[in-house]
Amino acid sequence: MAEWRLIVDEGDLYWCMALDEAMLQLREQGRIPNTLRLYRILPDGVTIGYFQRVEDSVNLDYIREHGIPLTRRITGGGSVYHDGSGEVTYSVVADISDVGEDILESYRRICRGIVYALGFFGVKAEFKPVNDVVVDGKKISGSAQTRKKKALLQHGTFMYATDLDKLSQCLKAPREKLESHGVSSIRDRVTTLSEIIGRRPGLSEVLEALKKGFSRSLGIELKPSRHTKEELLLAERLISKYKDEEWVFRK
Amino acid sequence: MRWGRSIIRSRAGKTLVIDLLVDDRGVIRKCFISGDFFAYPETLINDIEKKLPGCRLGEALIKTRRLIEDSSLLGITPEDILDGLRRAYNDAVGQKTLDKVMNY
Repeated sequence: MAEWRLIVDEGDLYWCMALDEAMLQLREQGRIPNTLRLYRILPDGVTIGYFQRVEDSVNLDYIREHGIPLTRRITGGGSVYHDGSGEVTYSVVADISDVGEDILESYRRICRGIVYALGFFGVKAEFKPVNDVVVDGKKISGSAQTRKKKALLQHGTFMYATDLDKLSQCLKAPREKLESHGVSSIRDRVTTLSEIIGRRPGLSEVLEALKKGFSRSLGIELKPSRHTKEELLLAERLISKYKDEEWVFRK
Repeated sequence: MRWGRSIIRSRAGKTLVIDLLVDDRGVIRKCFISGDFFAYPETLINDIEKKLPGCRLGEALIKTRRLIEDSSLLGITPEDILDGLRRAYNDAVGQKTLDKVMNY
């Protein structure tokens, strides 16, 4: 069974996004092994997709008023509220050939790790193409992937106890988008593990489930590890981009 | 010179927004594409935005189709982008978007 690095950490929004990008670049150069990273974004923050316009995807007034950090991801997809005290973010950084050349199939395979993790809590979830995991039609996890020539980065959320009221205050979905889901607000189309099972799971319980889930979906063995000095230095260099208004408001 | 906008909701539930600035001679001056979809490689969207200024609608559609051929879209289809361009263009020049077939 292939062995991957497992890294569990936490940090602020900019640092976390910079580290994901650093890992992708270094995996592309073959300087780090395939890695599963599980992390918490503290304090909470908001990311928007690579192609999104800030004013279409988040409530800027609310975010500014509450001092919530905001940045743009290098991955496509929609806006995300990262609640470090109720959500674990994962990232998979690996060779494309180890996960799957076909893009949608690779989303499916990685997202199956989330489905398995929820299964350990007795929750029946399913992958909803292209990038969601849903329980009874409600989104509990969203993912986004980008690819270089050889390596891919897929990161996403696992909402075990996300503050959904705050989530719906932060994020804006165009009316057209909500209508296609047949419900009237963001709040109604998302859920959390705690809402489903009626108790708040502990962080260590959640991390264990995610480790087991991804090990199974990817057919890998995880070896606890730490970031290399090179990764940390590169992330340090990339952090200014994520804080730069030009990057965040580029669209 | 007028701005036109189209908002397309794809079958996969993603949103595609296209803004076009079109001058009085019907030539595209600016193009902005945004939304919560995925494109591989991501540079495709920027390439389209850069290639369209200077084109009229027909040429813009041909160029866009050619650029999309070399990439993969997820959450939206190539037709969504082409349809979005037609609608944004027609919005800018004050024309109703006709049926797809009649638009070619």
